Amino acid sequence: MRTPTWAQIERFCRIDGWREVRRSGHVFYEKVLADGTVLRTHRSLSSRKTMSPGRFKAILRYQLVVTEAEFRQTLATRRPADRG
Amino acid sequence: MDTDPIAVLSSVDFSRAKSALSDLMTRVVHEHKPSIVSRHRGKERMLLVRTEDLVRYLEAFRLELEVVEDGGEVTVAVPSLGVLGFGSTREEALDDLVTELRVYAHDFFERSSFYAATDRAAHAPWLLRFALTPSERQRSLLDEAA
Repeated sequence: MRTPTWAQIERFCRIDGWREVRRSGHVFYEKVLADGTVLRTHRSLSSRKTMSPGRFKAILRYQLVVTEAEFRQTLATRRPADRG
Repeated sequence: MDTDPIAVLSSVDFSRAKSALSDLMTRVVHEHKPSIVSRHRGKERMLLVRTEDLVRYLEAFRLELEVVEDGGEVTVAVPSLGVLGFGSTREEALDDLVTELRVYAHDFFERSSFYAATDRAAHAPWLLRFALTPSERQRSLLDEAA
């Protein structure tokens, strides 16, 4: 599995319409989905560093709430993720 | 102090609570009796409770963890809260998770009117228990689930 850098996580958040809510050590983002669900994530400041597949999967599942394919598609198309 | 014979908890009007705050606090803190203070004819009410008592009431709200070790990295998740801790060892990831929980709890109660109107309102008991636990003991809350 090819894993993203923190800069790519941030890029995903920007394309997907996340709002920066805090900058202290990490940068924190939030997004409110159409059904009112609130998502929250943060990115490390070491933006060029990649992460392990296990960590990437945890971020996708518990914070970004998209599949890996939806994550890649968002970066490729520069359009917000379609969470179905 | 008013005691409604039907109500389970004692209730006192705001103006009486102000004039008898010391007695009210003694009742709540020393006698372990939660008390309601109300104003505008009961339209607005708040509950006063000793913090240590509240921590005990919230004891059942334990943080469930999921640990992923992969490629020299450890990720610890609290799936129900969507909070993650990162590190190169389990201990490092747990320490990071404590920091992330502090940040989230701070933001949650700082912007509580926002979160209260969302699905995240349900996070309140876990975050309140974490926030009321002395900082030097917050790390031990993660060991309850281990």
